[in-house]
Amino acid sequence: MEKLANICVNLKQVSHSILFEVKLQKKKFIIFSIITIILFFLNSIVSYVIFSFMTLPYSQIDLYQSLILSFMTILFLTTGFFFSGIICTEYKKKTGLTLLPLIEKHNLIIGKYIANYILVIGITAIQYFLIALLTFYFYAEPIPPSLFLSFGYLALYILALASVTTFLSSFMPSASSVLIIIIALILFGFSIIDVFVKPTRIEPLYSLPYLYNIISKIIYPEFSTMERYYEYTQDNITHRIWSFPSAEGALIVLTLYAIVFFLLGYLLFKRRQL
Amino acid sequence: MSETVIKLENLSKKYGNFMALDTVSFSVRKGEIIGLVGPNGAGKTTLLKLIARLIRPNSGSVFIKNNDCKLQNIQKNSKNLIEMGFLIDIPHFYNTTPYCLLRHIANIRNYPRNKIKLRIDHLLKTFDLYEWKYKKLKTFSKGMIQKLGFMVAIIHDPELFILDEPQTGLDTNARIKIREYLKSLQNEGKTILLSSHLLTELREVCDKIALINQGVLIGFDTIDNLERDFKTKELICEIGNPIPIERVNDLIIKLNRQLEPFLEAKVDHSNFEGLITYNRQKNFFTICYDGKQTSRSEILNILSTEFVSDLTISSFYEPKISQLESLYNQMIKENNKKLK
Repeated sequence: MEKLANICVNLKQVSHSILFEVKLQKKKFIIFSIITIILFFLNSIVSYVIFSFMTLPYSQIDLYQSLILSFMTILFLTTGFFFSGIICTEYKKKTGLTLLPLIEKHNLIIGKYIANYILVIGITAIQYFLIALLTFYFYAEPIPPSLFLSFGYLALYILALASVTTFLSSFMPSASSVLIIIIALILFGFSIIDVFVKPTRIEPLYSLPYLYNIISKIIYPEFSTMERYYEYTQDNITHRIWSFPSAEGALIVLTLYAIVFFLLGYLLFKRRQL
Repeated sequence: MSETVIKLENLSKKYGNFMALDTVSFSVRKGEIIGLVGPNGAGKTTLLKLIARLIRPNSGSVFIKNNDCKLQNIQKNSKNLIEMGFLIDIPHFYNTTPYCLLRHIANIRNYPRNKIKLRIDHLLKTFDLYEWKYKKLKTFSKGMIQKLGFMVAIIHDPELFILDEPQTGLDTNARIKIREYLKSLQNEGKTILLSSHLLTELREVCDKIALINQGVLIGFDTIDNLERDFKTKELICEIGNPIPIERVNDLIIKLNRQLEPFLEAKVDHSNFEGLITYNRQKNFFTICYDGKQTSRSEILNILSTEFVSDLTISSFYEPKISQLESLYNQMIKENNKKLK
């Protein structure tokens, strides 16, 4: 009975944290939603409708793919902005976590994590909704079920990215330093590692930019039979260029990313002192 | 005898090579208000953070009463402890409204849902922030944030309060309100541990003082007992006519010689500096005596008879307010001498 009461108390704390965090991040959510809509407008409506300087792709699937790919940068920035201060800001500003001594702080962090995740998923859902709307407008075809599969992988991808960001936030001094590192990692970090891994022809499943490709490719009905890499020979050396991961590979790696980095972040957070 | 709520055993904390706290031990009983005093960097905030479990000690233990009325080592198990409210020295908050923040804290702390709104309104009215209930915190002044920090610490009506300089940055009115609120909490049987540099405020509310200097607890007792031990009683002798500057030193030497049997016993009397001082601007003598009632009468008698040609006494009394300050200064000075 006591255990049940404790679980109820913990769930209550998590739920209150979620509600409070959603309220706090409301402004950020609105700003990023507007940015998403504006960028979508520039990438699609302006390009294909108003000025027509880009030719509409042959099929709706190709249009889905190109619009989802163009969403990548905003996705990284959005996740970075929402999750970078999740732990370090509390310590830097001595706010909520520090005002509540002897409380189960992991309830508060879990609540914050879930709240920020819901908000980022919300922004992503806006993007997907607009993509589906525009594609229907151009092609008048039903929405393919694979779009939902793509959204599912994107949700898992955001979870992985959020966990990495949370891990950095658990020991870095400020949100801005976390943001800089995560952007640097995505833009340059993995590319540097790729330089060393490429000659081995091993699939770069460690690379978050590479894993992102599954989100745009899984839309294709023929995804399971598509070539995931191509090879070319230069100076008698055969190079292999990987295009996208397999569905199973991406699922496993992204799940591992999400769990491992969240746990690492949590352990570091538990040890962190004010 | 009331039960122990907090017990510190040989608590030590190091930051790198710097010893912030060195084997501090004391106990706090239910219903007591303990004042934590000491110079800047003495270790007061470190001690409070250790009790609030915001940092971990290098050695020693903190025991806090749990809901089964037993003392529990919070490093080993921090569940089932009595409710605690904590105020950090310079609180910061999210960019929300006081109502939103207080409601969130009350919810997190499991305060009865149907009483939250009433409780928030009551606190906001008590501390004159009711009109600011729905205003964003970024528009608040430092004093208003401090008041809100105090409210955040007490919103869930805990049994134990840990307050780090609760009256910093507050106007006189607000300080009085907080002082009265602390007294009302004490009447309800709450236990309070607070640190402050405002010795006058501590004198009004605290049952005991814990004096910390350079990480070491150098005194823990009631103010009266500490004063008795250190004999830092003062007398103020206001005089009618100012003493000419060229006569002051000779007069002080003569006063020390005549009043020596009644001056502070623990201090080396060959070093007269500080025991009897003359304030030229306000025209009074300060005499640090041994605290006995008989000594006080004798001093007045000597001043009235043997110094009648040197000074005319217009007022002679023992100031309450400066005693804690002089006690504080005296204890810190002596401790610093020992450490050297």
